[in-house]
Amino acid sequence: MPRDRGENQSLSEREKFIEQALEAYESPLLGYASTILSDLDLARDVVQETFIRLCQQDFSKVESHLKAWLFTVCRNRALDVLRKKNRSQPLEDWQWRSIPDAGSQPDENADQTERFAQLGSYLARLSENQRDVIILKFQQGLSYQEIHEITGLSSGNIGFLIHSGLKRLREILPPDLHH
Amino acid sequence: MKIHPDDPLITSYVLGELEPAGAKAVALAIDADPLLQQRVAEITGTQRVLTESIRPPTEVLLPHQREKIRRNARKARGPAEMATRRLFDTRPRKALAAAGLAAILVVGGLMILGRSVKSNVPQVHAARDRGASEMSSPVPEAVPVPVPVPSLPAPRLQGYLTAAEVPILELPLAASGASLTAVTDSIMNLGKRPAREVVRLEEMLNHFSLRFGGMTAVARGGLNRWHPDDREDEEPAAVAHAATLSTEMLACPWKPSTTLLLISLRGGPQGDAQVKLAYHADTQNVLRYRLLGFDPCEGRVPGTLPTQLAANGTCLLAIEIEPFRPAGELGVLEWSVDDQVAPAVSLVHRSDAEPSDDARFAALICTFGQWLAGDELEIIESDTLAGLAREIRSDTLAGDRADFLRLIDRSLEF
Repeated sequence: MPRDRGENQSLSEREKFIEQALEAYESPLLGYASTILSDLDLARDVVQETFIRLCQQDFSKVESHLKAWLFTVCRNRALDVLRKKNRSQPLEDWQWRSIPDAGSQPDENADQTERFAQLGSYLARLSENQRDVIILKFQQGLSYQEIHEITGLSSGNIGFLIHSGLKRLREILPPDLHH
Repeated sequence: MKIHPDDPLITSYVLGELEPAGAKAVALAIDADPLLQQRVAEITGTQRVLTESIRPPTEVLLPHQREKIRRNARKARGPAEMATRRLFDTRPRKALAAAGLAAILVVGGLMILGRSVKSNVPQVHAARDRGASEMSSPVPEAVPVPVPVPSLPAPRLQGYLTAAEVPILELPLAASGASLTAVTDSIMNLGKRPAREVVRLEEMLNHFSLRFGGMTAVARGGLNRWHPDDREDEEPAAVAHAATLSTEMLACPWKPSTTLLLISLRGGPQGDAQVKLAYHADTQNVLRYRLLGFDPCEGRVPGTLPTQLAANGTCLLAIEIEPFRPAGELGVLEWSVDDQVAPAVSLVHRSDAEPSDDARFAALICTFGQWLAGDELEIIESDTLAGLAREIRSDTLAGDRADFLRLIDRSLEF
């Protein structure tokens, strides 16, 4: 019987851990996967799979870098899905389709979606790596160290890619978006 | 401190990514230079546009998806969870159970007749062995055989080399096939994950005979005087096929955004040869790359690299290449045999190309080796490994490859 109590305790902690992870990272991961895939349904599948994989991990090994772990798994899975979805379409041709938001007011949602799509068309003109690190930095607010853990790129490379990506965006962004 | 207005340090400073001492020095430089102040204003403006506009609408998972995650959280538990990832069904098969039952009946009958039970035991073993030889059978019980573990230094996994900084990597050739024996002994006989120092990916690759289906180049030695017109000669000149270089590329299983370059070098029949091989990265298309395995021999360290290729011997190598885009020119392999320059092999990756069976098997070996060595922790998951192995599993798989799948299957228990 003591063993049963131990297992229940363990399961309870596991469920609590997953609940907290869902609470903190569900929406950011969905936003990130949606940005990569331009498809909310596919993004939801990817995020669901990411959390199911989390359930199968030894939490003691993951919890110290949970955020980076989740984004790494989500990113790899999303890129995998993207390639399977359209093998002939290079990543440069990501389509920045508008993604409806059930929780927002129609006007607010349309404005946000329009801005997102407009900026996306310019981000699509960057290199894959530039776009990748810029999304992680400015959409998800990750540090260079966290981006390093997710992409495997060195901090120096990340700094250079963000710097050159911002420079390119300054050149191509229209004044109305810039101001 | 003098800083150029186009220095990435300025961006890192604006984004708060510098250490306090570095940030202070950059701040002083900015205070003293109007050009830098203007650049800071520009970067801040672009940062504001991005943070305001790049945010997608807030979304959540659907209720049934959340519930599925919660169900997984409830049911996931150590050993039971790992058992679901096994490649082979470890439950007793019906045929096996029937054979066991038949054997018991035979033994019982013989006992009744007053005969020796011992004479029937081999029949039971034979039935078990037949079952074990099937692909979908339980993992056979291995007989413990002590295998000497090579005395090797602690592993230090190869780091990535940035193509712009290190565009050329000379490749080492020496690799035996010993590591797989030690890995197998640890997993199958000792029942534990092998020590990291015995996991040598290059040796595991070299344990198998693999032929890649991409570009191939042949080097001919100095004795090669053969010509098609000589084919009718009674004593044709010796054909000096010195070495063959074959390559193939496929998406890296644990990181699909990167390309796995597989290289096979085969020695000719004439004798041992000195082969120098180097990867020249295309700096326009390749961000970074790394040679898998070959620890502690870091290719970029100056010194003498092993270059001897035995007659009819094989050496396999794997390089993980991270390109800027999924397909395109990734560089060239340049090589020479006994100081004679051989035809270079251009490396062009087509993302829609179907990999050969041998390339997929090599990718599985790489995944298993890197997983055992603890590389790309949490990226190479046991699920990924099991999935790859399942894809390769077939009834016509060669014996050594089927054994390798059983090895992976058993390793997933740990």
